[in-house]
Amino acid sequence: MKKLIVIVLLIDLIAFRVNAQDAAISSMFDKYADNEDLTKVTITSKMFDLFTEFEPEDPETKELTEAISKLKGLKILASDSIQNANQYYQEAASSIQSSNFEELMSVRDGKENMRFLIKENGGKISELLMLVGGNHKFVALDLYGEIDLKQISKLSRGMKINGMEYLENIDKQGKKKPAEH
Amino acid sequence: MKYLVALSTCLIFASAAWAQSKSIAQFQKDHTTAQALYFYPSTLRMINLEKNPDYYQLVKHVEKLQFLAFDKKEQSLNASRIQQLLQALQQENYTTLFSLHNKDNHIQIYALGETPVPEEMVAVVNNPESLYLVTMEGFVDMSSLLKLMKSDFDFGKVADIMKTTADKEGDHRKNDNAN
Repeated sequence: MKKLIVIVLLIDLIAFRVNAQDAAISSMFDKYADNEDLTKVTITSKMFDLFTEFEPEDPETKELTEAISKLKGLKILASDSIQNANQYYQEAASSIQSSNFEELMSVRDGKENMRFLIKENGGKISELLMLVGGNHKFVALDLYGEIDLKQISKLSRGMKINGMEYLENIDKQGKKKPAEH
Repeated sequence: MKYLVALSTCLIFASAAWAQSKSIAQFQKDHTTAQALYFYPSTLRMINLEKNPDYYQLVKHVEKLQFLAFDKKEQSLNASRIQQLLQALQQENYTTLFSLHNKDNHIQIYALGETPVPEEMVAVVNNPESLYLVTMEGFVDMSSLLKLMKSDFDFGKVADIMKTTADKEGDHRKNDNAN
């Protein structure tokens, strides 16, 4: 009986690791919970569950809804009109130092810094973190669950949602190296 | 015109009988609405001027939609009273689907019942001047929503049609008060 309880607990723990948001990222979002300079968006797994009910006729929408239904949560912190955007970006980047994220892509140009990081479990991507910092602009987007980069990229195209455009080419990037700062 | 007035009156009376959140119903009793709008399947389809098939699919499972607007100043709605409403909704087992918070806007969307098919959805939109409570019996087809978002469907146009109606309702109320 004890053995069974231990096995059940272990399965729960593994499932929790796969589905839950990284603790460091979670505390980063908590830190800014009362910050009025930022817009905070949270989408729960229950919202993504709504996609499981429908059977779209066209294959493309079917693939997308299947991919969305495997997501467990999305959190966004964003502003495009803050003075110290770069400071927010640096703070967010330093808060992920202790996490097991691998860098997927980073872009630096004169205007914006962007970093895309992923966390993998058993060959599947369980978390995608995107950080954007620039002139008065800061975005931290954390997506967790079972993530299909190809579908996320497809989803981002043509959605006309501010911030989603950064994810449009996410499927074309290979992993580069573990996150370092 | 008389037909429309009669139809609206029937809809409002009918809506009073439908099952909705006890917290929302109580809130509606305690506070006077600045605007109150009710949409049924026929009215939701009517809004679709472009006759977009994905829009029809989107609202296919929506049985009733209630839109209530409150003037916060007029109704003395402070942060504590609104928080009390949110807690009451959670006590009724409404669970959060979506939330957005910034300096001026606080939006929460809740669902009642086991997903993927919620019995009812409630949106609470709180801004400095107004509080909006939107209650929807039934659910929207998310795959159609996805298709519409990726298409050129003009959500703004639909919102404008709804807003035009809402403004008229508000004007009627102001005229009634003036008289």
